[in-house]
Amino acid sequence: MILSVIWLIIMFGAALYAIARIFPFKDRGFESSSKEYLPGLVFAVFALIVLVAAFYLFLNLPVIAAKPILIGLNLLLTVAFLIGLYLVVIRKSLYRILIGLLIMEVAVEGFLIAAGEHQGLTALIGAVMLIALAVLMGKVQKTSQTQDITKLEELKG
Amino acid sequence: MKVLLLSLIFAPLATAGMLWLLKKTKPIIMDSFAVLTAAFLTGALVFLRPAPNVLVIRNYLPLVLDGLSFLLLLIANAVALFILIYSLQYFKEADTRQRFYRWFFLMLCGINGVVLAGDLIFLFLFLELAALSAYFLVAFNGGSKELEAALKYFILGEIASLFILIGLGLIFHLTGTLNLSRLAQIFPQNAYLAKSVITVLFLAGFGMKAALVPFHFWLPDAHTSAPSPVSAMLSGVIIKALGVYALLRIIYNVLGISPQLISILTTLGAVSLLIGGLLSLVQWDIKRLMAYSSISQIGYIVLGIGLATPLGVMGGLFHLLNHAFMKALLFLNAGAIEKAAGTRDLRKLGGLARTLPLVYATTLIGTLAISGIPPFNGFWSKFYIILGCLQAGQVWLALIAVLGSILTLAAYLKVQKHAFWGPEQGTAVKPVPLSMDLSLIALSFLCLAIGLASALVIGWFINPALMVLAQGTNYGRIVLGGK
Repeated sequence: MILSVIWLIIMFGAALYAIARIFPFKDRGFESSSKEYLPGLVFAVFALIVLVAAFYLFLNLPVIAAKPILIGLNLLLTVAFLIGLYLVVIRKSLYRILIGLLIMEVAVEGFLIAAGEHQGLTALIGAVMLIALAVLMGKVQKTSQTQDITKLEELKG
Repeated sequence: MKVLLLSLIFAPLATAGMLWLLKKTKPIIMDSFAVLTAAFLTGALVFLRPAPNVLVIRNYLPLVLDGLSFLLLLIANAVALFILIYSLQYFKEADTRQRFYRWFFLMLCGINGVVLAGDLIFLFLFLELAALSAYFLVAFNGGSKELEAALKYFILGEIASLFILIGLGLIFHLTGTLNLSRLAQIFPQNAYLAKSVITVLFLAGFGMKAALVPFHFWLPDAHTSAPSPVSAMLSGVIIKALGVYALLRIIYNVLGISPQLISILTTLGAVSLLIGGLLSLVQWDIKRLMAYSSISQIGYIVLGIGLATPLGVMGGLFHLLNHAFMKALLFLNAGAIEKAAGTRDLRKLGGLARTLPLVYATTLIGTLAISGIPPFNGFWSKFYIILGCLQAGQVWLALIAVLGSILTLAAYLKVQKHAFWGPEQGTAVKPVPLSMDLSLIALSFLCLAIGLASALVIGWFINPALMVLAQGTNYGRIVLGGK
């Protein structure tokens, strides 16, 4: 398990380094912020429901309930996942969305390691995908001259 | 045989690598190499037809070829061949074509890998490889709209992948393995809570990959912004291989189908069918109209397969095959129209039936096929799905399926009316290159031939896939005992 954790740190450390190289400090969108409260409130209710559901699930899955430390660890990872999801859903800066996805990936990889999955292939895949996303976001920022996703409104879905 | 099976994954990967290394090679060598590889992959399937046996490789890279994976391989590689022939003259610049081929073959490697993977980790690996290639192919032209569409697709695809990974984590917590055949044998069928949570996570993850409503909102932008050959591949193959196939394999062969799942799948299918059909009616961009139509047709497939009756599942699988060819034909026609007339806005087109008679004929065939008009292939698959709904006692679902066909016909008649009939709009129309015409003719011929020989096609390709789904979680026993 220790080797898996070290591998995880290396993979996502490399991804973070690559992201930092692609996004210079001044372009990390620190100036953008959400002034709307309703999305945050909705998210808070959603997060509470997920945490309660995760707690109930971990208590009732015999494999996890047999080791109390796993319950605590997986709950911590659930909180980290929700923090990452908050950054993706609520924050409008491309850079923050990327960091949010990174936090979510690390949380999910941690969940796999806690389950005993030691291959490390998913960590490698996750790191590669994040770097590729950072490259794409860099191109979008260069073309649109903005980090604010609310300004990327050419397509309506 | 095992070498041929491995070549389905390593040949496209090697081709992508070779094309990257041989950047300065002559265009004719590069084009021939690409088309011959695609022809080899399609031809290899003739020797790999597995029914009734299952072909298994267990060491290092677990692969399983059975009737269901064979059906998807046939769809993916045959459509890829036609798209490659089309793209020979769609992309004028040799550098552009080479860049397209590299990403395209990476995507094809990923799709073949997803369909053959015998282990959830490798399924995930190949799924991400195909998805990554798809994201960069959507952004291929590099404009702001294309980049925005690719970004949206990428972010939502990543969130979907995370849901899938959480599902994998839960499965590993429960069973200690991610091998599909082992899981089919040991997954605890009475762990209702865990099974429900895993099912919801996979429905969200793979449902987003398949563009099932309410996870569909990335598809219209992505399929519209991509070059037409890419749109054909995305609508015709990717959403089926990465979304529908993976969902089917896990739900039927690992978790096991249940009455609750049947309700969820049929509801999602019916809603996608209606919403996709209604939204396609109000579009004026040909490709956006076709993209919404894809959402509707995926609804048909999921509805049919979700019924879990023999006729319904057969209809759903048959529509999986038919839609790939019909939608590839329609998107390639849209590309031909855009190339010739310089626009795909229906309000700026008109009279193309006189100036582009071949494109008109092939678009008409595609329209009739996808609307379910006999004797084309779409009629039979939709007919079986409707019969499947009646067989399951779901009269309302049958009516929704009929309504969906009417909406589809209305949407595509709109294309016929504005693009082909009526007065010409005055813009000069260029001729469509030969390789593009050849692909359109071949796909049109297939739509008619499959319709006329539907019994044969069902016997050869659909029934083996149906048997795989019918065996349910016995999949594990069959694979582990197979050769």
